[in-house]
Amino acid sequence: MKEIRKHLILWGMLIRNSLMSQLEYRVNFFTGIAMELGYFLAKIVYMIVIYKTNVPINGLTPDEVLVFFGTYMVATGPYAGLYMMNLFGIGRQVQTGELDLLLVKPVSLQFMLTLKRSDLGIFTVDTVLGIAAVVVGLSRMAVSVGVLDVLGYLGYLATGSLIAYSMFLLPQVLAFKLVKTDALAGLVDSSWDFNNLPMGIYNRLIQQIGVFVLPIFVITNFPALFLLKKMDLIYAVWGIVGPFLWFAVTSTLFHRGLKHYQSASS
Amino acid sequence: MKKYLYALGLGIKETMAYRADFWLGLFSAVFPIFIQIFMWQALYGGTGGGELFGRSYGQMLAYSVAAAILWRLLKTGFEYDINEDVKNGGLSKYVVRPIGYLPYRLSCFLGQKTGVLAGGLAVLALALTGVGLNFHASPVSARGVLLFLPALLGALTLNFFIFFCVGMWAFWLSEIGFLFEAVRIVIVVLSGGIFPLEVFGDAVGGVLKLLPFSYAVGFPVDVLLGTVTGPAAFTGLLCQWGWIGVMALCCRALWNAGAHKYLAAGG
Repeated sequence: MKEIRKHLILWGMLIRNSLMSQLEYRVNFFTGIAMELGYFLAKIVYMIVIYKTNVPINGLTPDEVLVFFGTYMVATGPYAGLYMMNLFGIGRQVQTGELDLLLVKPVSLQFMLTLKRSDLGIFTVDTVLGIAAVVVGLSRMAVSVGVLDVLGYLGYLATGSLIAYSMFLLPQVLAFKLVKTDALAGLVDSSWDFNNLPMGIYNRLIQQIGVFVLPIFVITNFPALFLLKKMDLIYAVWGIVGPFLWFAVTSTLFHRGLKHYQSASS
Repeated sequence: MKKYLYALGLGIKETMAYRADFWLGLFSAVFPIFIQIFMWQALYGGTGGGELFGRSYGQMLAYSVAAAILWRLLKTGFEYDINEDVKNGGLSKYVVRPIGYLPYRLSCFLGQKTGVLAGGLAVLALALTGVGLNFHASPVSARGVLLFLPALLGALTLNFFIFFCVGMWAFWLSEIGFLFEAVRIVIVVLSGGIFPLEVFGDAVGGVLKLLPFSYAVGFPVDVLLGTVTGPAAFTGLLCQWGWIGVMALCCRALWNAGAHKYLAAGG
């Protein structure tokens, strides 16, 4: 518990440091926000198409799809703003031997490697736009949302982020062995957009694979399903158990993979 | 002219050297295509097989596949090189060499794309054949292919001039990497690289079709798929080359203005 508290305090300090260094280069900070708005435009086009056609997608009305889309944007906040850039940087740190410096620090290496840098501008843009989309979707449906609904939604968002962190860290473990994993990382990153639309658009087999084998759909579909009261019991349980299972497996493989690391600078 | 042909050859060699990167980049089109296929399947399923945005299910899938592949084939990247040249003084060597910066970049770009298009168009043909087999009707006609070739050349050239203009911003802005990405993604949407411009409605879609961006992806895809034919295709080609002329003039004006701001760095 003491270790967790220490790392949480450290994370807060790292986030503050990242923000301070970003604000030194303000144009970059604002162009980063512009880039995220550009990505938002590319994704909201899907919603434009769905609203224009006004056709239910496998039983989901356009307003319900908007709740899924908003949840996807909310989950993109921590993904793009807090850990994705760190995961993509692991390969470079292995190549250049920069990892040596982190190895000697008295904190968890996995923590430092994956959460050192952050971009609060990107995080805020995605999260705020996502919340706005969810609120608009819910208000158009005139759905009443209680405190428990919100807490459950936030809980599944948190466990969804945990599974996303674990899933997207996994290919980076190969960097210790293969050194260069840029192309693989890019490929895995593009799979994030599978959550752009509800998993209901896919057939049953793809849904089961995306929930239980490569649980990409757990990340953003589960919070939205909970909020819309459309969640099966098995999904409700897997949404809690699965992320911790994945985190444990990824952490174990990370530490095993680290044994393959050979310093490039020595 | 010989020196620019040499630069073109360098561009081809560069593509061949990084061919794995190119194929992986093209493979990344698979996921968005996959998502769109299922989305359109669900939407058309809800309409009972009717038309959406003036296109049948087969036509829409063909558009999604062709647009996703084409914009990746035409994608630039030299704007980052221009930024590097401006920031780190790399531009100085072009001042003392008997070579124009814009024609040099154009030659390299065309060289790179020659290699890319050779493989990429084969993938496009295979993908469209797959769509055709699924719907028992080819989405492409011989006339469409014939008209597509000049439209493709125009799209390639137009894309170069648009992004050369964007690259020229490096003369005025010091931190620009994210901005290039922001502009690129907006242009992809406005060019019809994700969905046909009809999805924006008659008014907005009509305006977007007048802009140069639509001639960079949407127009060549529509020509290939036979959505734009006959006189409309020829008018489109004229508009496309008209925009190329306008963008080339913009490039020249921005280059002249930027060159006055440039300070050579380094020894």
